[in-house]
Amino acid sequence: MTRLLWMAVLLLPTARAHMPETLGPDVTVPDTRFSYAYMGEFATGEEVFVLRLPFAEDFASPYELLVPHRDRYREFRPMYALVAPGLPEATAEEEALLPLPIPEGYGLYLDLNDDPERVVIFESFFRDAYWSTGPVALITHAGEAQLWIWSPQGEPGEVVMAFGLEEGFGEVE
Amino acid sequence: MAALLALLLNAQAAPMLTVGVPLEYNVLGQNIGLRPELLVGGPQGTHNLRVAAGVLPGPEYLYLPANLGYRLIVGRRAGWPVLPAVGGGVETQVFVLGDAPAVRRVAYTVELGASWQINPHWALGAQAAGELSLYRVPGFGVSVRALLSWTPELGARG
Repeated sequence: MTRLLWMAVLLLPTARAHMPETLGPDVTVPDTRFSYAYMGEFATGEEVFVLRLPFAEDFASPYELLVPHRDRYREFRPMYALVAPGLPEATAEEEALLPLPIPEGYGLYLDLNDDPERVVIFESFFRDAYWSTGPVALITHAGEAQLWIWSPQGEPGEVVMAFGLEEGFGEVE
Repeated sequence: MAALLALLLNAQAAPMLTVGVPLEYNVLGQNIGLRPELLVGGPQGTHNLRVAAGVLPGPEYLYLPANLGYRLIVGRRAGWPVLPAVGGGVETQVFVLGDAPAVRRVAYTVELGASWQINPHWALGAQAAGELSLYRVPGFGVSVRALLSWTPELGARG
């Protein structure tokens, strides 16, 4: 929360690049043309964060899930899934890992966040370091995509879901 | 640099040395640690060349700054009990991540503070500093320091 406050205070007056926002059980992204960093914390580890992305047209975007580079999160491996029109159909094994049922006609990209070597990134403006799933570029068709973020082991911890391309300056209409 | 050194090191007298041990907290990275500093000043200790290097552990990485700068300390000559100070410099910053290559950058720094002269040799102070890095790895930083400093020459100079 402290880092969210800092980012909000320092970024909001000037830019909407990687806009800081807050994860929740059911949140709709206000404008999918811009890039966002949705921050949240699994208080119990049982929560599922859902982000709805209403794409007006087919859209290509990078996605990555970040965990603060802190000792207590060394083994913390939350997962995320992008569920959207235009993605490949989920296998039965993949569906078994999901926290929610896939809507009819939707495909799936599932990131298990299980690479032995974790990508480390340093966010230089706010001097934060994170472990990342690594950015993955995905193309989705027009319609509502959904990002699901959950902690499969039921562990509490902080996460940041980052996605989007455009850096928008000034107020979003 | 030669002109600055000439200003600091008046040829008529030996330089005034001050050794400081600040406890520093960098607000953005939540790093906290010691950043020892050496001030080499003119005979009155007003204009000082500052060299400082620190080791500041934090929750996400180890922060290693090294600074070369200038500090103006007002009131030493007049014997004020509280000495305002302002300064600036250039700093190399290394962020040691452990499981990834260290990140290095250069930043410009400014500082503002004051110290309380306990006696001719010892002073306690507080400072705030800002950092701005514009190149390659852009960003900034904000830190606060509590400083204990020792000036062996000051008593002899009166």
